[in-house]
Amino acid sequence: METYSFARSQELFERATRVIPCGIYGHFSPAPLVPPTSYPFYAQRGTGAHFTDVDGNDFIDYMCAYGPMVLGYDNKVVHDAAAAQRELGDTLACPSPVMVELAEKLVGLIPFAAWAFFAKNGGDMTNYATMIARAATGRPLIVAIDGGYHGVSPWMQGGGHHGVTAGDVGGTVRIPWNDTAAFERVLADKPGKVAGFIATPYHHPTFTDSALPAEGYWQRIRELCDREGVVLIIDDVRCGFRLSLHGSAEYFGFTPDLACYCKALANGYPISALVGTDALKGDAARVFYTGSYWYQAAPMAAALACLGELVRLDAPRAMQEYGRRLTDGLKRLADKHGYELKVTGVPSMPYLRLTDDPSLMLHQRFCAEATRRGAYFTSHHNWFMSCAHTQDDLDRTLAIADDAFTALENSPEGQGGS
Amino acid sequence: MTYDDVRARLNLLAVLPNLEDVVAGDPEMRELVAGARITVKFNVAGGPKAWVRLVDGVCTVGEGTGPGKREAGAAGAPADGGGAAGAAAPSAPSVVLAFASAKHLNKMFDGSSQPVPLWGFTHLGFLQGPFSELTDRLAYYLAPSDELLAHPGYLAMNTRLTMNTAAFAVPQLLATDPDCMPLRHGLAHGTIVLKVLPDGPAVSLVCGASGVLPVKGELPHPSALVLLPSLQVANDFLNGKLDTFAAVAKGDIAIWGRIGLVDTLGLVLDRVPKYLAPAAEAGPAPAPSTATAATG
Repeated sequence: METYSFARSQELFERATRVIPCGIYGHFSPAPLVPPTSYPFYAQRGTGAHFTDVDGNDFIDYMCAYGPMVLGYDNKVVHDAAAAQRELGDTLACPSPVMVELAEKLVGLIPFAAWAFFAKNGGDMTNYATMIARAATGRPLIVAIDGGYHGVSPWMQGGGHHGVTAGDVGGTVRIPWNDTAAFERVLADKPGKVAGFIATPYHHPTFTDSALPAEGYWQRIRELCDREGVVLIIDDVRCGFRLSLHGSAEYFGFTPDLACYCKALANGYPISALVGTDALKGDAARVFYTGSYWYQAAPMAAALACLGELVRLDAPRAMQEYGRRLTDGLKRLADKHGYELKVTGVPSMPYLRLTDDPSLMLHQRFCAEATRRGAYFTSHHNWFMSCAHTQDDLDRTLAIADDAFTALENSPEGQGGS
Repeated sequence: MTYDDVRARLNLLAVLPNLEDVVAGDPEMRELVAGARITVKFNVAGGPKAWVRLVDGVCTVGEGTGPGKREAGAAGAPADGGGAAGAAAPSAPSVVLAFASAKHLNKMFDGSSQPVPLWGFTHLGFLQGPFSELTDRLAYYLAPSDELLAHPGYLAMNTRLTMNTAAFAVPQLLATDPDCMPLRHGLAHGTIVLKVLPDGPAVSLVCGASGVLPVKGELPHPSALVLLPSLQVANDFLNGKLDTFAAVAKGDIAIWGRIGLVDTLGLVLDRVPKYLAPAAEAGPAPAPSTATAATG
């Protein structure tokens, strides 16, 4: 099978390093793509579940822009809705009516939601949620999970990271995932001090297997929050609408007080949302929080259209089904070639790892070989399924993976395969 | 812990161990100390302790009070063993250099102060002669200029020593630097190897429940690899002359394995210049370079 080269990507990156810190910063940085020379850095265009890089290479995309692409790139329904709104007006002197329609849509879709608030990024919403929790309780501390990611504000990052002070992280207490006893200890050690508990619906850190909630975990967390008057915040930014149309808390059978959404909300248009209970509506109103583009109407129209399509397609079920067929097929291929592929998380957002090498180097080589053949696999992060992935994509992906496993087997580093 | 306290730990426990490599790798220095049989101990009041042992042309450096069995003729030397390599070490007479404070030690490393010899007065001649020459040579190797780096031998030694310094600084910074201490929590377990291709030098950092252990050389079965294609690239990387992000993206520097481990240790290494950059004596200096200490 032919393998790709990335000369134009490298050339652009070279230019970028002269004028942009890191060349490409943040989660799109080439650094965790191992080896970076096997990956595209710049995309030219996208259609359906595919994107084409600046070297003209076509990829079946399993990162989906790290989540926002949920219906497929260049989705006509969403584009048309956004374009129609732009015709009317986008960023104006007052909000547009679509803002009310979108809030009503979310309140109707998510069972516990009594209101919705909009911004741009997931981190805007997780930050706002913790402010509401502190405003509502008059308490200083937020309990979060070790390795849990909620954005890039200083309090969300760990101590010791550049630009983060001890004061920034002093209001956050980190505990292990799936450890209700640890939460109880914090509540006991700091009575009357904990304002909120924030976590993703299940634990999906990078470089590490995902972990689903243990039986009864969320129900016990809910009980403890109720007992102690702690606000329960779900960061549904990554999982939202890929597990359930009604929010991931519904999927795991519990009710939060606040839930944050972003990635799959508008199929790539810039918008995020926080929804909450009626009891917290007044506190949400009292916290002053805003942004220059948070009233932009076209992304709201896009979100409205996207949610409509997600409902029409029964999107979570479709993505779970595709993810299940993909990961089952990959596991079979790994086994055929003498490797063991472990799949964790949920099928619509699986994290995969070849267990034959705990250092991940073997898995990195496999993902790189697949990417060089046209299936965009990363080795450090959970993948994302979309409603645009087709049976042809699945067949092609498995053919690529078969060839990538063969290349791995034949490499000096791939010893251990059959 | 004060700035000077942290810097003293780095000077003693990250910079000083490079004497081993200077003696091993510089024939002139090896010859200079070939006949020596002595242990020089560094004792900072209320601070770190380290020892340098020179026996049969081999230099060994360790933390603590060190190998110190009194040898006949070493009048006044304390018998206080217990250093890392002390148990198996042949005995050698000791000289104890006392420093009133961490700042006092740091000034000596900057060349602007002298220690107080508490024991081993009969060895003052060695201290002021060969040992001084040896530490001067270490300082020379750790103060690169473009002209010096043009010489392959100097480039190789400077790269090796800078790499060692960076690796040996990691556990000290994790233990004492206020910005690095929070990174101990959540540091993954495993071994990270930093290696110049094809044949080294290399250093390994073993991260475990008890902290980070730096080891000169390449350990097997690493959890993460940082591979540098040449001494020149390695030197540029270690001295902050390279756009690391660009070098990684272009494949000039290859990183494999547990990238999270590399990221965390990178955050620690970023803090080395705060203490060991040439301007460090004036206080924290955010120079984008790594481990170019002036010593001696």
